[in-house]
Amino acid sequence: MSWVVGALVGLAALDGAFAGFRSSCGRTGLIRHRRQDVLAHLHGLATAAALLAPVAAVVLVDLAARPARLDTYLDAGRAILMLYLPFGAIVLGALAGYAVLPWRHRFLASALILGPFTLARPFVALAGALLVPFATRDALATVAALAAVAAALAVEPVLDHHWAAHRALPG
Amino acid sequence: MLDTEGMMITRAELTDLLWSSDPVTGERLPVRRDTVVTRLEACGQSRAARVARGLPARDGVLVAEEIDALLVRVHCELQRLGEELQLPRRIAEWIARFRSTRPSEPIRVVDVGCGLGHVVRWLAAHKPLGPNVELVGVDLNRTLITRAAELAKAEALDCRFVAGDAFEPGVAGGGETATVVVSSGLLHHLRAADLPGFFAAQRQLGVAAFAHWDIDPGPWTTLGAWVFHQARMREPVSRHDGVLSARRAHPADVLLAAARAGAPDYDPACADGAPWWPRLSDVLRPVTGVAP
Repeated sequence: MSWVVGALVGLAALDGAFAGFRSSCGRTGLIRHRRQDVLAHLHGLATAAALLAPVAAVVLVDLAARPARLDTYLDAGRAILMLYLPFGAIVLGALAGYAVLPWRHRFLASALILGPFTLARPFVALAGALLVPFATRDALATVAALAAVAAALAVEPVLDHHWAAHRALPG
Repeated sequence: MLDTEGMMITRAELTDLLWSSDPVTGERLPVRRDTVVTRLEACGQSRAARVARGLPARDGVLVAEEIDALLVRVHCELQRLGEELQLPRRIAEWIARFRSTRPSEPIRVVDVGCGLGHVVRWLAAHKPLGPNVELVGVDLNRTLITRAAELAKAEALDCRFVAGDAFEPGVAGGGETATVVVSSGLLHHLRAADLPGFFAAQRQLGVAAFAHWDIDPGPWTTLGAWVFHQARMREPVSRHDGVLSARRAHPADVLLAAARAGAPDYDPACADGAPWWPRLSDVLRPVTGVAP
């Protein structure tokens, strides 16, 4: 049980942090933006936590009322992870490549993995959730999975909206 | 379609149409939204026309402050892509190689069409070229130049920015200092017929060297531009212009012929990869020349 929950939480946290980073990229025009990048990751993480909290609450309440449904949720989690874990591993591998490759070849990680996978992310996220009904035949687990995907995909637009509302540039 | 002078009107990037200035005074000129839309529709750029139709206008004229803010946002996004492509490092590497032949001499690096001055500010921040290097960014757009200067000041960077035509005497500096003129993503904004004049102007100024980076065109580059502008850019203007940039970039033989016509004694060089083979690490490549 613990690895399924841990992997889901870990992936959600990473996805939220990266969504925060993407949302902040190309906003300020600064050359040295490490501090802004760290803050952006944290904003993404916090936003993901806030948006996913209601879904987690519904699942926890359901489990409190009907503990026997734990296996259903674990089946749902395993089905989702079948898709998300390889996807996440490839992305993390590309990020590691970006970090360790000589600068001349760093763009390879972006060109081959990071850019295309950013585009594919919503489709992969949805596909993962759509595996749940096949794995569980359970309506609530399916709705929870779809709601979690919607929440995860909303992180970046929510942060983009925040940027658009403030449009603050350093000066 | 032909314009009033009988010249062929080609597809245009939105950023080229949303802003205009008097070529003599540099003063900002009003741009009518209908004019932009009509121009885009005439070239079959229906998606770009749709984007233009949604831009803020007052009495039919694009609102200058809104367009300025948009252009700054677009250039900030573009800077992010430049970071990912390691563009400033590539330019620094070339200049450093050029400078290694004259290590003790001071040089001036002038970035033409610098936008927000990403390359110049990066060079100022990381100092890969050593001491005695003057860094200057030049652009016709005063808004971008003002913002570039503000950003440099915010990070206490030793570089300066000038609004104007870089090839006008005195704009980018003069005197005895050897000047290296660089640019990134500028050449595809010029018509092929105007390229020889662009290189001739640098020869006339007596620059020590030039190196102008632009997109190596081809189907892989266009595909990559689409993927990256969809994945990385938020502004519809950025997404449109980014892909069009790749589509209308000049091939190496055109750039080389223009450089040889305009600055024949600079021994110009430029090379594209095979069009069917993606050059992932060299999406942008330079046309270079060094004074005899």
